This record gives sequence, structure tokens and C-alpha cells, in this order.
Amino acid sequence: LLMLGVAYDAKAAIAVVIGAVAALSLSGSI
Amino acid sequence: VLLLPGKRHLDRDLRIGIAYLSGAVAGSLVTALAVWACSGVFAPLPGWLRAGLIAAAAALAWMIKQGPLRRRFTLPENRRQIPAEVLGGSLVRGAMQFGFEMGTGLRTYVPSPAPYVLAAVVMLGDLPLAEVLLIAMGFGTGRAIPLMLQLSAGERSRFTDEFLRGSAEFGPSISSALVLGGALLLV
Repeated sequence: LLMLGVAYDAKAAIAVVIGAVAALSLSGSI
Repeated sequence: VLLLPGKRHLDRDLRIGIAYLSGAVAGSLVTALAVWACSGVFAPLPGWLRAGLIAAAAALAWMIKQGPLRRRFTLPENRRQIPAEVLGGSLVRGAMQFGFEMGTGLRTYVPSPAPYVLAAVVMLGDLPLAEVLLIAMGFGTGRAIPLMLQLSAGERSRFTDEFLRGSAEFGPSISSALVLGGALLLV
């Protein structure tokens, strides 16, 4: 997903990352 | 619960992992699209004002979840665990449904402000649909990452303990700041 996002553009990569970060914060992984 | 302890069964575990990931991504897509569908109300606002509102929402979410307003106010969340009945019957089907419910972010506890910040971004950011879909896929994948990493870990209980240890105090604040920082770059 991240690679797909980076290939699309930087904003897309940021979108993927912030989604993943928010989800990981729920599992106590961050 | 989804991955049985002891000996690993690669084929079964893989099917459970894929089912859980698919469910989590589907669930997060549903929530993200529902929030995005309401976002048009804020679209006419100038970018600086939308960014300010997102920052204000993030600050409020942090204060209520982690900060001085913790005991005075609550944010909407489902204060219960996803019922075990979800996993009844087929384990693969149960994993998909469990993942879906986890992916929506609506069916169980939300112990971090970061998902609220994310919702504020989708609601207020006037983002194109492609970015909303990527946010949702990132969220769904993030929900599934702990299980997927567990699939590849040799000793499951030890791995889970290490993965979940020691981040409860600052993790939610750091992740919320990261989400806010990224969000402001998108708006």
C-alpha cells in the first residue's frame, strides 16, 4: 500500500501512513 | 484468539490473516466513506480555516483522551469488547467479521485520540476520494498488522507481549501528533 501510495504521489503516501499510524495506536503498537 | 497457540498451520493461518485483513480494510472503507460523504458541508470553507478546525479537533481529542479533560468529558466510542460470538462457526469467516468490526473503529474501545484526528481530517480536509480510500486502506492494514506480524513470529505469546509493551503512556500522544502533522500536509 505504501509503495502504491508513493508511486501515486507524496500526499497519497502520507494518507496511507497516517491511516496506519492511527490504527496501530489502537493496538498499543506505537 | 484467532491464531491458535502451539504448532503453526501455515495454510490455515494464512487464510485467517487474509480474511482478517480483508475484513479490516472493508470495515475502515465503510467508516471512511460514511464520514467523507458528510464532508461536503465543510468544503466551501477556506483551507486555512479547515486546517485550523482539524488542529482544534485534534487538540480537543487529545485533551479528552490523554490530557486535562480526561475525567470530565468523553468522546463517542463503543465501550465494550467485540463479542466472542463473532468468532463462532468458521474461524476464517469469524476472522473476516472480527476484522471488519475492528476496521470500522466503531465496535469497540478507542483508547487513542489518533482515530478521532483521522476522522476530523476526512470530515474537514476536503480530501479527494483517492486519498480517503488510501487513508482507509492504511487504517485497515494497520489494524491487521499486529495479527500479520504474529503470523510470522516464532513464539507467539512472547512476540505479542513485546509488541504491546511499554507504549501506553506516550504512544497515543505521539501517534496523534503524527496523524495531525500528516493531515495538515494533506489539507
